[in-house]
Amino acid sequence: MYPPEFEYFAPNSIEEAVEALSNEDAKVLAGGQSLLPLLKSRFAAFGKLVDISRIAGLDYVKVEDEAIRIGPMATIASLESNGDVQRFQPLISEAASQIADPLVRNMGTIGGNVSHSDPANDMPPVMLALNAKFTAISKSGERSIDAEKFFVDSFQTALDHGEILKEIEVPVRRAGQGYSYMKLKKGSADFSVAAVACVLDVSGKTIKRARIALASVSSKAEIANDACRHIEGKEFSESLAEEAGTIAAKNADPQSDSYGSEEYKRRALGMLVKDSIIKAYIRGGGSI
Amino acid sequence: MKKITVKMEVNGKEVEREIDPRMLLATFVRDELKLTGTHIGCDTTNCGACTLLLDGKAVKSCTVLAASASGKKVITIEGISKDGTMHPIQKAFVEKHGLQCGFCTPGMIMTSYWLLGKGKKLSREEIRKYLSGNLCRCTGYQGIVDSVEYAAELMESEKAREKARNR
Repeated sequence: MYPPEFEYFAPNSIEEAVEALSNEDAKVLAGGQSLLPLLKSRFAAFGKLVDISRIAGLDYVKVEDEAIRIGPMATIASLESNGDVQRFQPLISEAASQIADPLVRNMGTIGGNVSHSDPANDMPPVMLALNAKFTAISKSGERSIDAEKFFVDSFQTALDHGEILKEIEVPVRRAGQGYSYMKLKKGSADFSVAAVACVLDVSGKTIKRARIALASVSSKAEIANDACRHIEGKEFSESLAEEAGTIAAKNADPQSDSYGSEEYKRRALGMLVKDSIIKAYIRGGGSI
Repeated sequence: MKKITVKMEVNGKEVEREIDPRMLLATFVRDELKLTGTHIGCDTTNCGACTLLLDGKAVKSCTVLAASASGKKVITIEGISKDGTMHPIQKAFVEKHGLQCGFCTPGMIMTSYWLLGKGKKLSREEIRKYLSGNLCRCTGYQGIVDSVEYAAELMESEKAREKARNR
């Protein structure tokens, strides 16, 4: 299958890329693992593709000042196996290892994963749970966007036309911080039925702070606010985790499709939320 | 649409072609280079029959533009055997019945080639995980996992023999 016709441009610098993207009908091509299938199946068409894979130095991972800085072209496979990511923010590598299959992860990038903003993508909830900050660059300069403002709707982010994601910054894992990424999917290439990224700050038996973010159960990745509030400041118990799951499932807005009915998805989500809270609590040093 | 020039190294040989920029790498190796060992199964990033190595990493070539591969190194199934001798992975697939109809086999072998090139010892569970992007509708995977395990042994003993020869 051929994608619809387009003009191809592979700039050598981010400045050239930004310039090319001022064209209304231009689109960034990163790893292409979401964009090319969309083009081939004619769900999308663009007059110009700006392939940023030839811009040197966009695939870094740096740890400095209590933060991990990740270049947008870092592949999902590299984040899965990077020792610094595994050590300083293992939620990212745990989620990376669950994205599609190893061949797709060899090409797919974190920048593409978040900028594509498919409600079933895995990195958006991870970024929300970690309070990531995104740096966007355009002709008029750079700006920083918080994860909660970044994901606007299905396939829609806060990036304006002519803007490219330049860097992702996440805080390193704190002492007492537990994490978990869990998702339910059928085959490796399928979209998930539901997915949960959970970050808990644990002190003794108490959950001090909770960030639980969901994918696949709404029009975009989002924080399960009510579920977080329900467990924050409370002593952990399995029933507390279960209640949070019930709350998240009630608030979610899943659609029935070939991956399951609305009811099935709510039940799956409730269980994933419960299990991810338990796992994150234990990893945060909590005892059961 | 304006044609573009792509140059890349495929199985050790430099190739250069004028192509439509929307041509995918799978189509490029099959139609332009006549290397038809790379199969196109689903053409939707699911089945992995089109797997080849791009700069040393296994990728699904139906989901990479030939334009993006320009300047890079490609290895296809045709590039892994030497002087008409099968690669140990190919031998293992024959001996352990890693194929029935054979359509998915080039992709299975290219993923295995990448995987075993890492030189790590792998459990059956890990082999299954690494092959999760390659679908087979015939075998039920048992024979394929057996083949990859056996290929690892063959490659290991080949390495040992080589070492002994060089001593």
